[in-house]
Amino acid sequence: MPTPEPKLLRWTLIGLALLGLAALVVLPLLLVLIEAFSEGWPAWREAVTDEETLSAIRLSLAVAAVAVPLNTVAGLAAAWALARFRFRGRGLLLTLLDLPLSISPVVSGLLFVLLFGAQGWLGPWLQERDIQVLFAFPGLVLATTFVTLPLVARELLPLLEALGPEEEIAAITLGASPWQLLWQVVLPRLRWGLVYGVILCTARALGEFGAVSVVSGHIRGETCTLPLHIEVLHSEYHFQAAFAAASLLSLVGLLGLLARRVVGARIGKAH
Amino acid sequence: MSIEVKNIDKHFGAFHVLRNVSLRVEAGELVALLGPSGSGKTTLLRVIAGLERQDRGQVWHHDDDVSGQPVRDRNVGFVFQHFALFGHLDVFENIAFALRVRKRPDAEVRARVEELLHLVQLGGYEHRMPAQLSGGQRQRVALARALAARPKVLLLDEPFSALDAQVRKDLRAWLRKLHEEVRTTCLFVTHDQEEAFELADRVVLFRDGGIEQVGTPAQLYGEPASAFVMQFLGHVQMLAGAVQGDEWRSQDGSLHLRVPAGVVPGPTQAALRHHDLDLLPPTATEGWPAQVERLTTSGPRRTVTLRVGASALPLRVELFGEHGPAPQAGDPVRVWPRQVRFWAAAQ
Repeated sequence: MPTPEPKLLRWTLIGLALLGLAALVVLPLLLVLIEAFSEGWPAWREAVTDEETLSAIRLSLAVAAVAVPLNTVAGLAAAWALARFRFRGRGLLLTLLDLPLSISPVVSGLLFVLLFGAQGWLGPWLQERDIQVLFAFPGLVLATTFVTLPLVARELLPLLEALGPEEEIAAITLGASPWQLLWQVVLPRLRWGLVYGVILCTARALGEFGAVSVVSGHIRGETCTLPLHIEVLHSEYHFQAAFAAASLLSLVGLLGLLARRVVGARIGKAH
Repeated sequence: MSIEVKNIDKHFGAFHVLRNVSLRVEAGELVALLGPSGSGKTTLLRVIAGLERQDRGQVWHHDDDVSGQPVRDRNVGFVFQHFALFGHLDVFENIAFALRVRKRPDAEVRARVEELLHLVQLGGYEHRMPAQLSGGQRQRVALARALAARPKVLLLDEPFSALDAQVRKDLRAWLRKLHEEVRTTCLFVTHDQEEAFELADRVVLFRDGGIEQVGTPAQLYGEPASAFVMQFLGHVQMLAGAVQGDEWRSQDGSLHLRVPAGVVPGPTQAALRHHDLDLLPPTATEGWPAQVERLTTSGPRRTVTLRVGASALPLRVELFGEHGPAPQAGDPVRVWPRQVRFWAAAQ
């Protein structure tokens, strides 16, 4: 639709936006790729199939494989409850849901250190039972889950609110049990929104650095996720290897973006 | 299956939405819950379905006290104002839903859905999605869906109000016919008195959370229980005034009417129905002198707006079928009520 703004203004704004994007997004991304392949294809392959890198990739995938399903179930439950029921503490729950997005991931990580560390609240109790949370897989999962907690719920809540409760009430009058209601009415109506939320959550879980860095302890081959591993490589001046691994992570990000575009269009069509 | 509610009370916060409501609907009856918005009719329907829990009172389905039963055990059919079809399922699966959740065998589901598609005259539409249907078709699918599990009672919440006028009229006639075929006990909520009167065996008129009058359409019209009933049914004008002895006088003192024996003296409204007023020539000796303000014609009905009495009260007269010389704006006439009801004014 043509707007009354003068052409000069339009082109200036578009030009500034493109320039900013090029300088801040496209250029750095290109540099990562250039650096990753600076010593050629074989060097790149060697870097990403390095034993420590492979173990970091496996660990990141394992963490995401636990954190994402946890958040999917919790996010669906939270969004459903928040959209359909008016209860005491609803406002508080909504605020708390946003907390992980608004505080620094480093602080989130420190919360778990306070809770599970040797001097933390639960530390002694855990130590007696020989359960290792910090500097181990459970700590990584907890930190990642915490940081990505709102993503599924925040995606589903507006969808549920837009759909309204009428179909669900109809299903109940027709004799559906809560389980049937979930599987036959709620989930089919939400499916693309849910897929979208899961993609968002997975991308963030794979890329999380701050909170995980605090609880990980950087034990090579054991608690170094892919982003942590990249940082270690970089700080040890293995630039090409660091960028090779970073190019993998960028690829995941780009794939996530692409998937979101495709799924986002489907959500748009479903309404 | 008869439906009975006894002494139902319900609050929404501080708002007393149902006040000690009792009502019995006989098996096979088609009953309208009529009233202005906020009068409690929809809430009563939802209490009967189990979608709202009453604060006090009981709900009986035939001989069963279902007061504490959850919705899904009550086996009621519920039809929503905005259809509430499942957007991700086609017509067939929408209608089949109640049978699917009951895990009925496929052959039975197929047979029942075919039967219902035929009943709601949507044969051939089974694979359409709800978004591809017109409003009237959607509401027919919603009806078939509600009937699929052979509910004990069919509850309809303003089922036609989201549809346009012609579709509404067609569906009304169609629902009446459908009810004659299936004979399920039926309660429907409406704020449209024409719809209630045309469809229902009996009409329940609500006011401020209570039942003002229950009766056949003819009873409500012929023997209204209160000024509210008359006013809600419409085509009536209330004139403020007072009764002294055997005479009613309008507030400005210029209009007089004889009152029948038994009307209590004091502030009293005279209820004049538009079509119970006669227009007389200005030379007539009886009637109130008046002046024609406006004349409108709508089909067989002519509506004359008059100014009458010392304070020029507006008064509407409806004339049907008579095609004498039409009065013109500004003409002097006389007007006389054939029938008047007197209601003691609310204090």
